[in-house]
Amino acid sequence: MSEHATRVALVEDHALLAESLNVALSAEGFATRTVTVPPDAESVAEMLDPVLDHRPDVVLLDLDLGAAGDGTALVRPLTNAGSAVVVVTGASELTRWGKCLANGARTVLPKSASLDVIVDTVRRAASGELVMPEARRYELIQNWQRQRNDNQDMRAKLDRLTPREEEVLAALSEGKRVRDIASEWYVSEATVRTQVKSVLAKLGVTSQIAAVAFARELDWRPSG
Amino acid sequence: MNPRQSLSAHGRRPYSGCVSGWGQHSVSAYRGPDRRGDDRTPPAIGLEHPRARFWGRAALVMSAVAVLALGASVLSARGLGDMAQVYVSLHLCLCLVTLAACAGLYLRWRLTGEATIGLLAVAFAILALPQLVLSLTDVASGASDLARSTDPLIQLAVVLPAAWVLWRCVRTPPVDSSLRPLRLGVIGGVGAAVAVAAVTLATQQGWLPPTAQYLAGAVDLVVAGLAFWFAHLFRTRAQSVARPLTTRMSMVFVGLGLGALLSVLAREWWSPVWLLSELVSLSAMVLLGLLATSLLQTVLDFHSVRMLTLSLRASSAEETVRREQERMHELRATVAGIRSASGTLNRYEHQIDADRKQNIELMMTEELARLERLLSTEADLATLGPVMLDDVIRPLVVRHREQGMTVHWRPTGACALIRADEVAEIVNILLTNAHRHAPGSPTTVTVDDLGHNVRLTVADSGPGVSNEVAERLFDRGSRSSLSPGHGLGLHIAQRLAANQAGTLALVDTPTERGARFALTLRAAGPVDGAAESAWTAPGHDADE
Repeated sequence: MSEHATRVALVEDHALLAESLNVALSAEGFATRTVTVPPDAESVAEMLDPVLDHRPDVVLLDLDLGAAGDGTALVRPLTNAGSAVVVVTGASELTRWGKCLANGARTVLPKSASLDVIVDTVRRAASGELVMPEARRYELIQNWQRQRNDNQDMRAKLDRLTPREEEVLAALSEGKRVRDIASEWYVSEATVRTQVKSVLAKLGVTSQIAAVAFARELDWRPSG
Repeated sequence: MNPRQSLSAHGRRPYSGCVSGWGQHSVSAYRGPDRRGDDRTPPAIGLEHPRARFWGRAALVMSAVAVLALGASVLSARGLGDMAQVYVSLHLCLCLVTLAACAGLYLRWRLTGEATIGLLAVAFAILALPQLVLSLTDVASGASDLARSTDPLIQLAVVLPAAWVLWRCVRTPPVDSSLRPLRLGVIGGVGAAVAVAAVTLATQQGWLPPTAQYLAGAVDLVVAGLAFWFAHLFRTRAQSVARPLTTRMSMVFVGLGLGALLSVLAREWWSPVWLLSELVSLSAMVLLGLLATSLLQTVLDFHSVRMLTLSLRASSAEETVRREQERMHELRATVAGIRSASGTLNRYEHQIDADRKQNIELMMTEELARLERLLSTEADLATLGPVMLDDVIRPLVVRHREQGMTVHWRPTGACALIRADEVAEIVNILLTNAHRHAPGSPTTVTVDDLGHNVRLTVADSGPGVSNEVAERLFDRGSRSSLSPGHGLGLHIAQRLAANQAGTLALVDTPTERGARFALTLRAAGPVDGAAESAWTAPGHDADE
């Protein structure tokens, strides 16, 4: 490490947490800067430059960045830029933790972590120490990859739908019945039933409810 | 994301109200306007079509059948062979209508599990299946040996087991989970058909003596008696079904009984009385078919309404869960922030400059208020009570005067629809701001009645707000380079104002010195209908 004070960037949507961490880390001798989330931010990519301007050694990154969206997308570019990313999140989904770790985050801390732990983690991350046990890290990444593979299989099935079948599935997801869809589109019920059957076959499910659940599981929207 | 906005945006529960309203309305539509109060109606499954509609349809269908049958028989009544065909087709028609009614009743049983309906289906299947076998034999044999269909022993072999099932049907509890109508109906019907075949065979082979004419009459009388008895039983004793059903069922049995009585009088099958008897029986079975259709239709309608109601409720529940998850997330984040702030204040007490410390404390107060709001019910959030503004302002003015500020204020008695503690916080922020930016100069608090709205103005006589600062004055973290604060107060104040359906704005004062903030709130006046217009009005008032 060079002689300069360790630079820490705080990317945190929650003003009080940001301010108190800022005060605490500053008091501990870190050159700390809070990067606020612009209220009109449309994507987290907009946050990247303001963070990197500071050339931080360590970035304390929150995942839920309000209007800007999901901070997970920032982990990879920040890591590539040479910062040690420590994710501090209120999110309890371990697959998201796994995704951050797989993208290069040094560790993930829950927001409930004590000030001591956070300060200590920042210090160790800055000096390049191991901040998360390898086994734990491996387990979380595996967990995420498993879910991603499952999702990819499901997504591939959804990708096989024709645009018309996508519309049918979307209509079913809105709770419409075949009869409603047919009258809305000025086609016969038989036509719609054929399309529904084809959707079920492509998704490998046996009922309309299962097809809707399938789409919902992936938070699927028609591509059109 | 701003939890307060998201909560208030969802605060009206867009689905829940419409679900119950919709469901109740639609279900009641099927009960029909002329339905009498009936304490024997089972709760959900006793839904019937309006009586007038049912009987109208029944009369229409039955007269159509009668006209068709009569027309066909008159047209073809040229010789004995033709009359036999009329007989066979009428009888076949009777069997098919009965079996269709059985199918309808069975489907209704599948959907509701009413034992009465299941047993009705069984009884009529037992009646119809052997008759169908006989009719088909009649058709196959070219209607040459018609006596078989009316053989009294055969009739008894069919009627007695059916009567036993009907007896059970009247006595059965509303729901009997051990009942298997399909199995029972098929076994009973096929059993009766076998018995019929055996009797026929025995008679043909001469093992049984040919039945006497008087015996046939006696059996018909027994059948008529049974039918009238069941008509009476269904009218008075059936506890497990709704009254419209019992009335219609007893009409069916009255029809069957009349048919049997008429056939006592007409032992010659080609006589007009016989034709009448056959037509009456057919009408009774058509009535049964209509009854079954109506029962099935009501339960199907009921189920589709229920399905829709449930799916609406499911999506409303999903929405609630999603909102609750969001709220939990906000709660965790808020608590984490407060805990971290309190830890920081404790540990680094001596390293933090006073201003920053004050800022953190202000934020903690705000976060605790937010915590309280997150934990409060939606009813708490929704209530904006009429509050006397003087009561809110007085303690603040007193406190700030104690701190050495000069505050001009006069009580006005104006009332506004607000949450007192939140408006107190806004006024406190404005006074603190004035104190900070215009130290030593007097501050004036005025309250003006604008009709639908009340405007509370806090004006100082300090340096005022420059144009470039004014643009971003209410943004989070916005502050002038000279300001010692962190630019949070006004941001919070504006959000709190929005919480009261009000506005907080900086008023342009080109001629006077100082900054002037106008807080516009909804007046709690006696004017009805003012509430609606007040939702849009504050913005304009503030621009005056």
